[in-house]
Amino acid sequence: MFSRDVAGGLLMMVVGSAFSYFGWAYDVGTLSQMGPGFMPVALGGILVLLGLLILVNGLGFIVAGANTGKIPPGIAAKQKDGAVPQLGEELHHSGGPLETIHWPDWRGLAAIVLAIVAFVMLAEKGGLIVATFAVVFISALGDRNNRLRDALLLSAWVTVFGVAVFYYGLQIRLPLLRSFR
Amino acid sequence: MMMTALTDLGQGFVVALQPYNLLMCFLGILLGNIVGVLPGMGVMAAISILLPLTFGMSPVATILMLAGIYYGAQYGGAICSILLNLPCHPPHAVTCLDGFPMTQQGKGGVALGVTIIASFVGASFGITEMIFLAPMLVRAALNFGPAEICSLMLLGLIAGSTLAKGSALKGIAMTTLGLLLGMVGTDVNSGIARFDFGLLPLDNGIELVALALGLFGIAEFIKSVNRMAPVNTRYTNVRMRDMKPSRADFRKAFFPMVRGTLIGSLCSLIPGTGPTIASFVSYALEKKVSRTPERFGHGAIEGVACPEASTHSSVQGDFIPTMSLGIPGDGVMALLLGALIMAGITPGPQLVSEHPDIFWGLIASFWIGNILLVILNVPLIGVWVKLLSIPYRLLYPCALFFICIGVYSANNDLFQVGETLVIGLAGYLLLFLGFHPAPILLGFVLGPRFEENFRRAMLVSYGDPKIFLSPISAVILGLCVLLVVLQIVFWLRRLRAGDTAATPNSSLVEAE
Repeated sequence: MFSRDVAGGLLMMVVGSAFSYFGWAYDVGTLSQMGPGFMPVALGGILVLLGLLILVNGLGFIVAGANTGKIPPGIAAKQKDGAVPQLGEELHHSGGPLETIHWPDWRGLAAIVLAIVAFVMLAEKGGLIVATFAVVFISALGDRNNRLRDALLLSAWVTVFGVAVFYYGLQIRLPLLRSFR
Repeated sequence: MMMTALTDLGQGFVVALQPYNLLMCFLGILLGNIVGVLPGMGVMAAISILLPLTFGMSPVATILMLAGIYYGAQYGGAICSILLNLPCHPPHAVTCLDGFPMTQQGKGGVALGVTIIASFVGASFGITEMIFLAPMLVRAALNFGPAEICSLMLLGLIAGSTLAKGSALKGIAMTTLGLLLGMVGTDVNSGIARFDFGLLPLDNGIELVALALGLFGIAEFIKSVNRMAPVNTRYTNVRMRDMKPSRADFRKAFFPMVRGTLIGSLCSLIPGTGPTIASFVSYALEKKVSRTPERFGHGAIEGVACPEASTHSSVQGDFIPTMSLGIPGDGVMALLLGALIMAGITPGPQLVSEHPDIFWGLIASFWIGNILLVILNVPLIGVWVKLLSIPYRLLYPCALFFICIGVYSANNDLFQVGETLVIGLAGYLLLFLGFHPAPILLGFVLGPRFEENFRRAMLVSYGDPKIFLSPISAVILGLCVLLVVLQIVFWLRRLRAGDTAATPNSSLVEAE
């Protein structure tokens, strides 16, 4: 079985060793004359160690069968009226099996990523109006409850507001509208 | 000494009352309040999103505005917690326990009124504490060498990462990751660009704004999109006159408020013990001393008054080590510290002597800000209630636009918008795996200065680590060890109980 702690521990170990490995290429130096590589190598090593501990912790819980995926009592009490605590709440405690957690909402994820990519691509080439409209419109489509009309209206409003505040008010250094070349 | 503190404070009021500074403080509170009220926007998100507004302002105006945004958002979060049962900032998780039942009983207005009073009382005490304690701390810290500063930073890092919610081990891992991310960019000593992967824009390091907005904006939106329960606005009918607590309510709330304030200020003295722990501890204590503990969790006014007073007095207290030592206690403080460094001020013992206008102006503005908060919130409650009903599906696209434009305007660089996206995706992966990203910010902000002081200490001692065993440094390091040992003890106890679900925090509240 695979738990979040096992995956998290592995990830930390990979990140830590990457920093150590690439840090090694810079001069490590000596204790009294540290080179630029010293701290990255040392901290990378520490991160690997921490990752290992997290990993072992995760494996330990699996072996002990303690993984009930149980929700802490304090939080369960707050769920009485059916509201799902989402933000600022740790619903699934660390070590919980991967199966009990929410997989990402792929539609929302894709929309948010695409929206920002669109902003980066369009801001200079198309101008503030196009980029603003794109970022709001695309990301709004990520929510299943937003209909096309809602998304269009919202992006139109934000574009008007954004142009007024950021172009005319704060004089941001982006063209207003530019034809694609 | 007390007299000089008071005259300095007088000077501070002169600074804070300058029309421009006052306006910025007011604007910060107003905007912070607006963003804080919005369901799904925490204090971290509020500060990150509004941070770009301060670019190009004078240092004094920057810090006044940021502080205003902070407690504006803090109070806005309380509104969201009480009326909607949505704790957007961890300390409010406790306020929800009794605040929302009060709302269901039609007493939401009273809960908000008590929150305003409690936060003002708590903050006032915290500010007073700061006035007298900060100069003392500064005087002690001025004698610190690089080794002592290093140990102190280590204490701050360990405390900040272990005492926050969630697994301590993961917290320390996140702090380490933050320290490593802080190393990206040009090394001060050798001029070598580290970890830039040949990307020129990375030579200046990772942008704080990109990091903060990636972790607390984009990552949170990815986590919440299509997952936010529809906002329940059934109870959000609060008018101005509903907010006045009756005499009986006030009598019930008075002592919890005082006790909460004291606990908050005590907690703020222990490094790393931020408002979250203060609010949990004060709630647990209130329940213990109450003659009718069974009322708690069902709309006891004490359960709203004590954590709010505690949170605000601890928030103010947290500014003490941040401003006078340059060592933030939690992620929010780290963000403020980073913003100050970007504005050209380096908080630390020198700040108080070299820029008394900033330091005392800030303290004076706290009071002005808290009064403004009270004045602003009573008449505007109707507006806030309207804001609460904006659904998340319309909110996050707007917020994404603000993030894009905010990061861009930081340096007029679209590369950094892309950087924010990458960080956001990585941050979501971390959230997904059960890591809390706030300590990353702590490590990121302290990283470069930690490295600098560590190197200097080792240079001074010709590579002999015994320099860290000087009396002051040894005591601080001893505290670090104590913290780690305590965490191991907690962990072992939890392991023996076989209860993997209960964190020390939640068990605190549940303790009967």
